[in-house]
Amino acid sequence: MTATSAAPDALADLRRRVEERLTTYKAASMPALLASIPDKEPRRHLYDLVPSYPLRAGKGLRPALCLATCLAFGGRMEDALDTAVALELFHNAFLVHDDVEDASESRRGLPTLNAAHGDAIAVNVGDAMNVLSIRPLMANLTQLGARTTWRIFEEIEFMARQSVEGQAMELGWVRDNVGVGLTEADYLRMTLKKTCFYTCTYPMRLGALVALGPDADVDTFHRFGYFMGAAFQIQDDLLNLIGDVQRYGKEIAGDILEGKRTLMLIHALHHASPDERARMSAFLALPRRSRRPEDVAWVFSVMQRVRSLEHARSVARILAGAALQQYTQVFGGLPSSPDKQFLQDVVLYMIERDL
Amino acid sequence: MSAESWNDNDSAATGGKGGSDPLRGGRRRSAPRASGGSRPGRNRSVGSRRVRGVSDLAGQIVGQAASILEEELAAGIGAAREIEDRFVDVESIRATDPNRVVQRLRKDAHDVVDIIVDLVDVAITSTGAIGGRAVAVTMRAPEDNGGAAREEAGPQVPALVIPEPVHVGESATTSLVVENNRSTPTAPLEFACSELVNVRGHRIPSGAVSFRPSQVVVGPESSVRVTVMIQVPADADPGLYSGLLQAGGLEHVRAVLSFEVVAGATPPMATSPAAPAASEGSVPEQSGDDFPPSGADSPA
Repeated sequence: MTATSAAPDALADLRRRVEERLTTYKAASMPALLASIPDKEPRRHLYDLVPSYPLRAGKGLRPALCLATCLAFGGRMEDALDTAVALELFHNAFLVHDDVEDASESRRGLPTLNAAHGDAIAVNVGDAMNVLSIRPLMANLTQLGARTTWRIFEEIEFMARQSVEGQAMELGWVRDNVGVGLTEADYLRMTLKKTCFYTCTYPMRLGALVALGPDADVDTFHRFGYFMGAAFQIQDDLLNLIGDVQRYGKEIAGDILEGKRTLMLIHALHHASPDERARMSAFLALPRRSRRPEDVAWVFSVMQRVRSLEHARSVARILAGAALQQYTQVFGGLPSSPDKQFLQDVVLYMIERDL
Repeated sequence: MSAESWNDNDSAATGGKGGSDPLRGGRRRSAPRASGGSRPGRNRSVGSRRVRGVSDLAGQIVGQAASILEEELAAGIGAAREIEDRFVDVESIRATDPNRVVQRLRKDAHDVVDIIVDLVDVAITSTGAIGGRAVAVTMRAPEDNGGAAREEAGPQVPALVIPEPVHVGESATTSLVVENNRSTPTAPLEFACSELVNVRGHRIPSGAVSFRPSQVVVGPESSVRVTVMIQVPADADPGLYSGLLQAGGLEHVRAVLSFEVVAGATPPMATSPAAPAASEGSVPEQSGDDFPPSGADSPA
């Protein structure tokens, strides 16, 4: 296996293809999502805020993976829409709560809900999104039948539980100021639980279940989803450090300010000099409001010196290569289709993206 | 940065002692390199060393990731089985009548989704309502044995129950789903409701019930959701009312509509605008003010 990269022209074509498909999937799922939001009071502090994040310039990756997998396996898009909507609502609820937990200030180029409306309103809007995600899952009953609906509930339960467990791991590391004791394996485990299951693996599993029915063997998606999701998360963390704030939409280096235990931070902690490591540990022990911008810049400079960013980029590309190998096993035997092509293209797209 | 230089950094960062790399969490698969002394391949070309370095790193990363995945899946499968055990014998339930599964789903849905959020109580309050509203009214072809179909349909007429009482002078909305299992579309179907009668014989005229859309054509092997709106007259007598919904021309496509009318005005929280029109393919709003519900399930 080798690290994965693409030539510039091929990359431009790939980006165009992926973004066209993302637009197609979003055009189908977004109206369904908006229709699922109650048109009633209380509007100002609840229902008007629910579509705030979904309508921002997100990629809609999770519903896209669900719909694409369903279509690639011969299913109908309309049969997967309710499940795709539930995934997107769940994801956005996670983002809202994540922003509160991290005290983040911007999301997709606009103020976070907590920054604009306060923590209490934001938490309640996130709760509402979680609750609203249940209704489309129940609506599957008429479209997909009882067994598939039940199976989807089982999948969602596992997925959601893994996500909150992964989030708890990461929050616990910050809370307890765990630093040098963390390993790359810890990071990969946390990412598997916090990101990969609900971002990649389960959207695809669910799409396949919709297409093939409740007895389908969907365990084949695990490695593909994990490798792809981990590569995606590492790239996301890299963009937080080096991305264009206008394009990326979050505070650059916000993860350092928040003390997030990214692969780069863990690498830097292990490769810094003893003095640097001690200073980094002291920085991480501070509450967020006490961390100064100059200290954030210094931590970033240490990461650069010990080449943590290059290491993370290398790991992301290796994982993407492993994902592509898995793709062949999972989807290789299916007839050619734009959806099948999308599922291959999206792997490289996610590690080459700049937003 | 190449993977090789990462390995070189390893050596520098660990003081050249060549022990296991803490970043690998003790799962390093290839032998660690010593910083001094002879080692195989030390005189390899730079190119081959670089390829070897990338390959080593790739093997470590992917192998490590795969091990973590297997561990977590094993743990997760165990936990999932524990959860299923709480739901009595899920396998036997799955193998039985789908309606029983639906009932089981309604009953156990709370246990499943409360892992998602505490507020799920709110949603589960309406779980049964949604299941009840999604009435499967199976279409049968007119050329089928009509007498038999009617006979079968008799005891199986679905009940369409509005779970919340409706105050006099106010409106309520519910819906039903018309399913066509045939490979050809249906003829245009129009819906009508009989007079509604309560146990004391008081009546609400059939004109109080309307349908949106008023006419539907159900495509082959698909379904259409029809919104049913009830406007309770201001002078209606309180009590439990029932009436028969039918699709024009297909008398075996029918359901019994039931709801309770209560006197008095709705509390302020419940006087929000009438539920919005349900778009096809979406689950329509429950009558009145069902979210969030009043009472003990409401978050503080």
